Amino acid sequence: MKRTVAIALTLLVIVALMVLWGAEPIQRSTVADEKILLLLTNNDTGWFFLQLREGAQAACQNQGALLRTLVISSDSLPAQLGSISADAALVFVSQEEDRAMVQHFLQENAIPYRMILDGDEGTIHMDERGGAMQLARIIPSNHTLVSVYTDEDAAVSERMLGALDYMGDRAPVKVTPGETLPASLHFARACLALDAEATRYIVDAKERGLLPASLLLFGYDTVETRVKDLESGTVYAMLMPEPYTLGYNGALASMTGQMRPSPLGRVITKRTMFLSRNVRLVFPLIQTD
Amino acid sequence: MTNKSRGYSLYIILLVSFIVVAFTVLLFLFVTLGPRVSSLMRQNAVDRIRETVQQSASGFTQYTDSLQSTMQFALSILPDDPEADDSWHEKMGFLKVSMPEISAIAVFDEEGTPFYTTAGQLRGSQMEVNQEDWFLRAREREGIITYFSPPHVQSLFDSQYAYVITLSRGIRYIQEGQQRLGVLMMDIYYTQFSRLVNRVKLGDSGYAFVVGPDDSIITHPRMSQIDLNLFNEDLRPVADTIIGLSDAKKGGRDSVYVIHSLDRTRWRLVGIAFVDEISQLQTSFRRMFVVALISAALLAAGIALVLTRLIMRPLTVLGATMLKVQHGDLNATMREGGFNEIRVISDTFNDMLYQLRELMDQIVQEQEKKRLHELNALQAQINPHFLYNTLDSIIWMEERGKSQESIRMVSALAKLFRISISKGRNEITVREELEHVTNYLIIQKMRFKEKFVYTIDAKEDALPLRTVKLILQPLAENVLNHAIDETLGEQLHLRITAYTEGDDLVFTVGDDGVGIPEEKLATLLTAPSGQSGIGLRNVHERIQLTYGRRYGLHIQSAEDEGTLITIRLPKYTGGKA
Repeated sequence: MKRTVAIALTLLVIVALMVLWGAEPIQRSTVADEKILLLLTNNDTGWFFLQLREGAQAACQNQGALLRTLVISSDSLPAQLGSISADAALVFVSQEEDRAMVQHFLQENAIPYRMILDGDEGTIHMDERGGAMQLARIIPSNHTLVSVYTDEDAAVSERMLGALDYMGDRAPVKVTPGETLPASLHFARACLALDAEATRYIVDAKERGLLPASLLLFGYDTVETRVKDLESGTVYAMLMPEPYTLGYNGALASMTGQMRPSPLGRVITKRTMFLSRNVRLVFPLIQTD
Repeated sequence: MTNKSRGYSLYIILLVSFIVVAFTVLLFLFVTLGPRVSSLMRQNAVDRIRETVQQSASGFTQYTDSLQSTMQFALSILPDDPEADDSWHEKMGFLKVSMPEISAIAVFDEEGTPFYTTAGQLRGSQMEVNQEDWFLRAREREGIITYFSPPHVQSLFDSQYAYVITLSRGIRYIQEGQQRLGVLMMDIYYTQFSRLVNRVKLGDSGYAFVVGPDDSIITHPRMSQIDLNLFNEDLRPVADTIIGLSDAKKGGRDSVYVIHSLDRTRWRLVGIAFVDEISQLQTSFRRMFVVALISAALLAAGIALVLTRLIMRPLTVLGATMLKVQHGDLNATMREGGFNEIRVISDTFNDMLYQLRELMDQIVQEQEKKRLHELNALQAQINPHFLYNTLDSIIWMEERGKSQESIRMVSALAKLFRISISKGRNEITVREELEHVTNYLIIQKMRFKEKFVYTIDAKEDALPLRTVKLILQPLAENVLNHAIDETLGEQLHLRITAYTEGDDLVFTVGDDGVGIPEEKLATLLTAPSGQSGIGLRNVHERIQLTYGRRYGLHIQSAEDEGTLITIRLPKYTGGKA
């Protein structure tokens, strides 16, 4: 009889445990479960950063993570780093020394991170070469083309490579704001400006009548005057950067290690500047979500 | 007799039967009810999603209706000839100010020249306005229906860019005496629409969005990602569907598309819910159902176990009791308990056992009685040798002229017979028993002369007590028969005593003969008849048959020292103890 009671009790205990297990409420993710992505920057103003953060925010939302932003300053950087608590980090710091210190800290603390930095492999950046190719591709082939730049940094070098296919053996011409226009520009029917300063330089020249209005200018984002320049036709086409995509890709890569292709940027013309799909690029502060 | 061919245990059969029946019932319930309930729950979840989308669509429609009303109000402000006076400009401006969601209001003539705008000068030429899609669509509808444009940046006005949805409607006005078709335009901030859709939540990650008649996306919670090609919304499941449900895979997950038309705008609200989320309750239920099933099965097994034990236990006890009886334990009884049927079997078995015991007792008693009679009869017989020897001694004495001795011997013999007969009584007093053995010893003393001497000591209180008769004489005879022969000429001392001890009457018969060997002593009272010591065994058996197992003979002996036989009897003076 004792054995029977023991068996019956054991069965009852099993049943009770099973009922408890079965009645366990459905687990939902809570804030405590959320991973934290830390966006580190030394400048949280400007439309570029705002869009970048928005992109990172969207990726975090898709991943069920929380985005926090830390604006660092060189003076208090060690103290700021000491207070960091994050599962992953996205670094958008322009100052090299600060960037190096942040990178060192993240590596020491085994926090996965990605840096938004031009050119370096493994970083999040625009595909400058591909973007330049894209921009150059719409230049009519029967137009005499002159390519100009102001300062050859890593991005501009990449753009040069991208544009070379369309320029034949003519190398880009370096221009300096405030100085005389290169002679070749006077014979050109199309100009490819490989950086924003060079674009501004040609726009000024056209506006001042130093270059003909018919000169088709293909340039890079002039930010403040982009709408006016495009709408007036001073700039025929402009390659817009995609900070939102950089933020999105960077956040995703930091959290999951998944690298998406670098964005090319988007070529905008007067005809396409008001299209719904380009609104975010041309009018970055307009809310579309 | 044991039945060696053992079949299946009834216990196992009952247990297995109970469990199989319980499991079959539960399995049947699981198989029949489970999928049905699960399907109903899924249907219920889908219905809830559909209701949510329907409610959202209803809210959206209410908003567009209110915008329609605003357009209607604006139309009512417009005079037949907009150029005749400009008093309506102020009213239109007031309307714009009173509704913050309005970005701009403008009225155009049929060429696209503005009569009035709330946003100041136009940036472009009038030719461009009349080529705008919203302008053309409004004129197509001839003022009957309001056209809702896709979202776009409104670039008409100088120094003003707004992301809007343009509502436009044809207006009939009089110019130069002729009726013409112009356009009333009202720009509504896009966020007013997107907010309505973005707040729709379907499950954990389900969402809603609006598609236009050409399957272009009007508003979407991830519009930025769509614009930047970071996310692609597959519109195939909603293509050509105005209203209804559609199932599709989305990102490897089963999803349900709920499509609802938005009146007047020709847009459609699409809700996407993921099956794994909407079926969380279903999954939970399924788990609960399985748990309940297993629990019920375990409980059923437990109950079956207990029930089977309950049924089987009395039967097991009955079987064990029967086995005891089979092995000779007739005192075993079956304890009452269990079900009525088992109780009846138990009672019947106990009655049967009782009757069997009674019968056995009766047989034993009869056997004992018979044996006692036999022993008594045997005891009452006079040993022919003794009688022959005594008579021979008497003759011998007569021939020698020892008539006094012969008279004494004859007298002793006569008393011996008288007491032996005792009028047929089986019990006599201790006094008579002692007299009987005394007479025997007198006769034997006359025969054996100096070969032995004897003494008889009896306590006074023992003399009137009663005893089975003829128990001392066989013992004395046994001493004389064995001890005298083995003393090798030494005189044997025989001592008989009688006394009481507690509730017992005690006789002792002791001698100083050679004693009884140890191995013989051990079996003297238990050896089968036919072997030596039969006289002792008869006396012992008679006492035990008469008074019980507690009484009888006890023999102590040491080689070359002698033997002491103790006879223990119940102490009583009349009747049976």
